[in-house]
Amino acid sequence: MNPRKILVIDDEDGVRDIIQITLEVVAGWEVLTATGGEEGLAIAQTQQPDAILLDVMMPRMDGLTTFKQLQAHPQTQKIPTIFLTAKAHISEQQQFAELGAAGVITKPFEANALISQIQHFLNWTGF
Amino acid sequence: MYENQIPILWLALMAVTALTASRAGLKAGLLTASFISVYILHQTYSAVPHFEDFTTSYLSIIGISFVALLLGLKSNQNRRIIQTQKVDKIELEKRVKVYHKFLSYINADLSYNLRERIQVEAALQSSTARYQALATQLESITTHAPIYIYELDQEGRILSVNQTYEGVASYEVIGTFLKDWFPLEQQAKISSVIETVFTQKQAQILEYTLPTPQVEKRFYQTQIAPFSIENYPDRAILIATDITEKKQFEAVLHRQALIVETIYDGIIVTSLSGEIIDWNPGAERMFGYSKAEVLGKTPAILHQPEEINDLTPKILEEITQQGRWLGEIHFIRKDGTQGICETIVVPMFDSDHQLIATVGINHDITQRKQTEAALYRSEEQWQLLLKGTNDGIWDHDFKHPQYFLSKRGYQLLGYDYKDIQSFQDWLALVHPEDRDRMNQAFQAHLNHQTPFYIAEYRVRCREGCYKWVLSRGQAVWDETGKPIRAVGSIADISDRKQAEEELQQYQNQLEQLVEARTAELTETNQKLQQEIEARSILAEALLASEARLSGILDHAHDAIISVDENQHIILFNQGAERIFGYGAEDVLHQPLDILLPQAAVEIHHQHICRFGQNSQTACKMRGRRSVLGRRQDGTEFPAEASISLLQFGNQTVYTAILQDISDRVAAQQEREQAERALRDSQRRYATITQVAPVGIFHTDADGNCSYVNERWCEIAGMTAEQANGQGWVNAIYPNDRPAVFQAWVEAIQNHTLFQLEYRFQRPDGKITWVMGQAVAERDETGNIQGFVGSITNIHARKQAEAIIREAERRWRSLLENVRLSVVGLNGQGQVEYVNPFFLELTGYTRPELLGRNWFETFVRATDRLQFNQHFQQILQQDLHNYYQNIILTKQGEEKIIAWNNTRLQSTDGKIIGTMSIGEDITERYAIERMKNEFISVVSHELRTPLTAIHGAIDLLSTGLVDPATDRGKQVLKIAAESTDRLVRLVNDILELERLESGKINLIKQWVDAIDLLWQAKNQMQVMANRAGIRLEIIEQELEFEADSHRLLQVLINLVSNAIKFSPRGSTIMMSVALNPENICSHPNDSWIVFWVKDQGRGIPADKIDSIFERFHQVDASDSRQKGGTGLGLAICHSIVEQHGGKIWVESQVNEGSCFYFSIPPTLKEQENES
Repeated sequence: MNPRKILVIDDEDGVRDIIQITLEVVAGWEVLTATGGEEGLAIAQTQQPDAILLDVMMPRMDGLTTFKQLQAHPQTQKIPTIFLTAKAHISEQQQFAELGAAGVITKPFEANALISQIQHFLNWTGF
Repeated sequence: MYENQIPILWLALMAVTALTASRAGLKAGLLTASFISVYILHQTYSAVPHFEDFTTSYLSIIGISFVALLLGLKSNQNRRIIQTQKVDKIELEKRVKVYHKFLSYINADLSYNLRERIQVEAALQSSTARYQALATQLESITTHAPIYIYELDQEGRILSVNQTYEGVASYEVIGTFLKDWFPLEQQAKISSVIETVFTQKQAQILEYTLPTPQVEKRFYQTQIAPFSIENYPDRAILIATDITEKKQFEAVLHRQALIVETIYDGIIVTSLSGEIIDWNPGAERMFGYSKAEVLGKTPAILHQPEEINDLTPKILEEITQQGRWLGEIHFIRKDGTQGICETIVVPMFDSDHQLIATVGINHDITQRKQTEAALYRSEEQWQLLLKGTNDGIWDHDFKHPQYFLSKRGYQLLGYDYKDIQSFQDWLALVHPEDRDRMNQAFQAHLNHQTPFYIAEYRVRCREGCYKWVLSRGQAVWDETGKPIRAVGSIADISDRKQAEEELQQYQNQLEQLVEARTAELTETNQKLQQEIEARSILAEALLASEARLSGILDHAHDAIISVDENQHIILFNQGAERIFGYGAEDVLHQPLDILLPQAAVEIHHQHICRFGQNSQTACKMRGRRSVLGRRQDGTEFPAEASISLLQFGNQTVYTAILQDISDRVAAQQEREQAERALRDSQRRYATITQVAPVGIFHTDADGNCSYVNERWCEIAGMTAEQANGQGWVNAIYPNDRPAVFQAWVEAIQNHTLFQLEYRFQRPDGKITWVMGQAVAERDETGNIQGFVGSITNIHARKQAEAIIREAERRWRSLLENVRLSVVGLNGQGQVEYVNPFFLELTGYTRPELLGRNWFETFVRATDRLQFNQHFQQILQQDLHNYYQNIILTKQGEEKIIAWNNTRLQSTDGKIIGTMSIGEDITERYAIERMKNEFISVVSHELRTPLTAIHGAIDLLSTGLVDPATDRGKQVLKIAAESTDRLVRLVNDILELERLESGKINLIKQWVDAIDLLWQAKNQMQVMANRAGIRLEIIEQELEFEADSHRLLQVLINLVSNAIKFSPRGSTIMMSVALNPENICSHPNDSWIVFWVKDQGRGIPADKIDSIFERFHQVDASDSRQKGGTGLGLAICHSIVEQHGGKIWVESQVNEGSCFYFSIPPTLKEQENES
């Protein structure tokens, strides 16, 4: 089985690095990173990761816009996307779910929680 | 010799030749010529040796030959001709013989034929004559118009005519084509008819018109028939008759028939035997029967049998005698309804003037009869009306000058018909003072200002006095609104008027009248007394003054009657005539009794006797009581009489002077009645005033009180005596007296009611509010006789009013001044009241809002339905006492208001609206919102580094990553960096809070500007180096007072930002200046301005204002990325503001930014800023 490719899009270096290390070391997955929405879109289209972790608060292109763009492109439509947000309002989480996000994770998060949630989606064979 | 002989010879020879040639012909001639020629030659030769001299010989030879030739030919020709002619002649003679024979045969033939022809011609002529006579006879038989008979051949050519039109000869016609005599348009027809005649061998009839030279078109009827006689089989004969007259006659008949058909009246033609032989459509319409139904029947079907049977012989009789019968007949229609018609029956004669039929023309007058009957009834009513009403009826038709007045109208005033004929006559009789008023009333009605015309005015009677009449009427207008007629009635209201006047008079001048009368009577009495005495003194001078006396007698108004000893009337003056109605002649020498009522006669005799015994010369009969007199017509009347006695020598004459006091008596009776009525009313009045709950007072014209009732005294606290005269004034509160007098005067001047609220003050000082009302009593000339009025105690009301006013004032003051919105709505949600604070809040003016719908003006469209429901619930169920909503100001700004609502009820429990008090909580909300936003942002900012730290620690603590490994070191580093960031963030937030809440006090130090700049540069040098950016300072010697540590913080922040946003290789410049006008514009002198200029990517113009806010969203992430907290500029702003300075930026995108901050030279005492 090929190791899973996960794309992490977050403008914060620290957070991104930690996630990357966590996923690589703990789950053994291949982690692709992007510092912004456009970069993330490009990588997603070319590399076709198995899941995307998307930060909500980003400059220039924020998480929501990036997500819509991902949905718009046929290549990236089907990739399960998980939002990362610092805002813990339940109403907002519902909002993301309604949009079609696979899940929402609030920061700070448990490493295991993160991994298990991603795992859950990776085991899906499709929508 | 030879020479002379030659010519003669030659001539002779020529002659011979000629002769021979002409006689014997050519051959002979030539022969002769040749012989001669030889001869000549010979002769010549012999005479002349040379040939050259043969010239003359030759010439002569030629000449002779020529002659011979010529004549010979001619002769030959002649001979031939003669020969030919001879032959011809013989031939001709032969032929002549033959012809001669032939001609004689023919001649015989011809003479035979000629004889025959003469016979035939004679026959023809006679037959033509017969034929002509026949034609003429035919003409006279048929019409008196000419008949044209033409004979035509197959092609339509005219072969013979019997006569032609005037001016056209027969020979001009014969041989021409018939059709050519017709106008072009008819020619084709003529030709075709003629052709038809010949082809079909049938006669054809044709009608046509032709214009003739003399007269207009004439009509012709033509018959063309085929016609053949022995030798001429194909002929046609044309007979044309002039039918113009016939046509005209026909036209007339047609017109006449049309008249009969279309006329509206019914025309019935009846035969002598009584059957209907003709019936026009008018009769159909009138009677209902159609022509077919009535022909052959008698007219009896149209009438009552009895009636018609009676009538028919009469009709016939009259027709025979008078030529026609005219009358009205009742008839019955087919449907059974009845009617009346006006009928004329005339006879119809034939040409022998024999009666053959009667023609009846019936005109339906049923409608007219009905109208007449109605009119008659109406006329009857009118006459009855005129008779029955006691009023005069007038009719003024504006179109005619005549003015109709009914008999009673004339009677009322004692005039004749001829006295008043036009409206002007009437107007002249109207009293001058009343004319205008009457006219105005009349005009007002004509102009539609009043529904009917009514006026009272005086009219002069025949006798000269004026009578009051009441005239009422109605005008009639035409379609344009112009009055065309007015009709009305006049009634004699003189009695009423008189009574009115007299009543008025008596009320005011009761005693005076009585006194005046008494005085008058006394005076009259005295005068009479004197007169009588004078008369007795003047007894001797009676004769001398008899003329005067008779004059007096004649002109005296009173009756003067003298009787002798025997009570026979010897003197009866005109006054007596007038009063008693007798003429003087009638009564002279009659006993006095005739003037007395029956009942009084006996008593009178007694009195006379008694009187006679008494030698007093004058006394009143029966004293002051009235006597009764009897007029001629038997009516009795009261009179006042005085008698005197005169002695004429031995004669005794009693003279009575009598006055008809019937009027006076009547007046007196009326007066007594009026007095009684007055006393009654006075009594009633007194009762009323006594019991009335209001004070009543009377004053005279000058304001002197003459009467006050009990109640008044109660209210005023004074007695009636005290109030009398001017005492009542004391009852009025002194301060109100001027107002009362002024109102009093005004009321008098303006003829209005005096009405005023003022105060009474009782003697004990107590104040009572009263309402005073008074009206002036005026006489007929409008002068004030006095005043009557009432005083009502309104004190309680006034007090209540004052309380209410005070309460209202307090409430109003509260509403106007409170710093809350107060809004009152009515049941429909319309604004009834808004207080000034609300107006201030929303930016409207009061007039703009009153009456406007609350929901449409203030509530957002999306909320309207919901709030309307709330409103209804408040009204009906008293819910929602407290709620908040958003309202829109005039500018469209949204404000959040917290309302307290109550519903309003009217005194009878009906819900009339709501009253709400609202607090503007917009600010509070805004602040709440801002706080929430800040917390949300801050929490996000805090969480971000925490995530990294948490994640890192998690990895390390669970052993997933070994800290000794590179991985581990990386994780640690991330954790450390994030921690730093977190610490810095928290510090900055706290710092900012402290700065803004004023907890930090700035330390006043003396600061060297250059020193400060260098410190900043040094601190940032490492960072700048790492970023590859050069830092430069432009030195300026300056010293000032400030908190150097804090200012350093500002400089470091600014430089740090500049480094973060500048590209590698660029330069950042720092400097300071004192009041630098060339660098920036600053209003204050001696301020120190620092600036940091970079060559970075600049700030967009729309973001410049917001970068000094906390966590400005512009590129907060960017600065964070580069290690910032997003609070740096906010802190700088706070520090600079604390110094009392300003911080600003000038920037150009992609070129660079320059941050400035200014500091005042001396620090002022800082007040705590919240």
